[in-house]
Amino acid sequence: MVFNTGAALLDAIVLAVVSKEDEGTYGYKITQDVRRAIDVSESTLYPVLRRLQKDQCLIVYDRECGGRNRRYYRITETGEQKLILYRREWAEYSTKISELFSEEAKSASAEWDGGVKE
Amino acid sequence: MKEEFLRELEGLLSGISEEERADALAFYRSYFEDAGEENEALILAELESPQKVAESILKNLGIDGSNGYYNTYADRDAAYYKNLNETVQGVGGEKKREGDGSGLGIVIAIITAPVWLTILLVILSVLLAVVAALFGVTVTIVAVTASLIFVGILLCGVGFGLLFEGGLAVGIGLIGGGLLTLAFGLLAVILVVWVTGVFLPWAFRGIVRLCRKPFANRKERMV
Repeated sequence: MVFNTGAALLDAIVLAVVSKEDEGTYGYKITQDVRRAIDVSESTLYPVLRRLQKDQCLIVYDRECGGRNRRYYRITETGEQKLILYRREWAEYSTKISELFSEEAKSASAEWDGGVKE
Repeated sequence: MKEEFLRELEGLLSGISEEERADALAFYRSYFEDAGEENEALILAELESPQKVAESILKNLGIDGSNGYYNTYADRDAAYYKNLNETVQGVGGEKKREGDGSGLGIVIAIITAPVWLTILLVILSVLLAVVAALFGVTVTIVAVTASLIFVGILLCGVGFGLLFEGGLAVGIGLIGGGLLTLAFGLLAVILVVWVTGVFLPWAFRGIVRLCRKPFANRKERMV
């Protein structure tokens, strides 16, 4: 992908991915899910998860799985709130960008300019 | 291979707190295990080196001094929420100031009592006069109406009486006058109904609104 993914968007994507699982999900799966949407290196996700955990958007717990502990992440109420905020921001942002990119918007804008000149 | 990677990573993270280190190592250990042995080589290649992973962790903690990209965003978020809080506090602060202002306002109100009490009395007197005038007008109209009807009926009665006692012309004239008076009386009844049913309620509503106005304004200011 040619576009960079900023930290806020990365936060939002990770929160969205984790929120999809009511029971929580684990690091490897989160990475796979995130990578379905954006191209990130494997070392990128841990700092994001750690930050979200410190901000109390995610909680971490270990669960026994096949004779070993697996680290699970689950979204908190705070995280849900933040995700709502991110979703709203993204809807606004992506709509504006899409409008700028679309051909229709271009002609509409030209028309509008013409109207003002008259 | 995996154990070696984790051991090296642990060494590289010796500068940070036990909790941070344990968390990071637990994550990457779980990561390797969840990926399965068959993917181990692939992940090791992707992670490149323990140095690179350690760097990403330290950067996030703001330890390497470069203040990573991510922290910048976190700072921006913090600034955003701080602003939000300040805005909320700002509203509270304004309210408080207003409260102080009204305390001062009470003192001023007491000092200037002779002036505004007089004005208030004048306004009240005017209002009372208006109400009294309205009342007077209403009573007058009702009285006139009643007398018109009374006189009309009386004239009709007297005229009718005279019809049979010789004064035919006078009787008819009296009846005519009586009916005319009665007609005016009935018209006046319509006026009375309109005055009591429409005009007076409107006038009183106007007066009440006028009285409420200063208080309404005050409320607006307080909000």
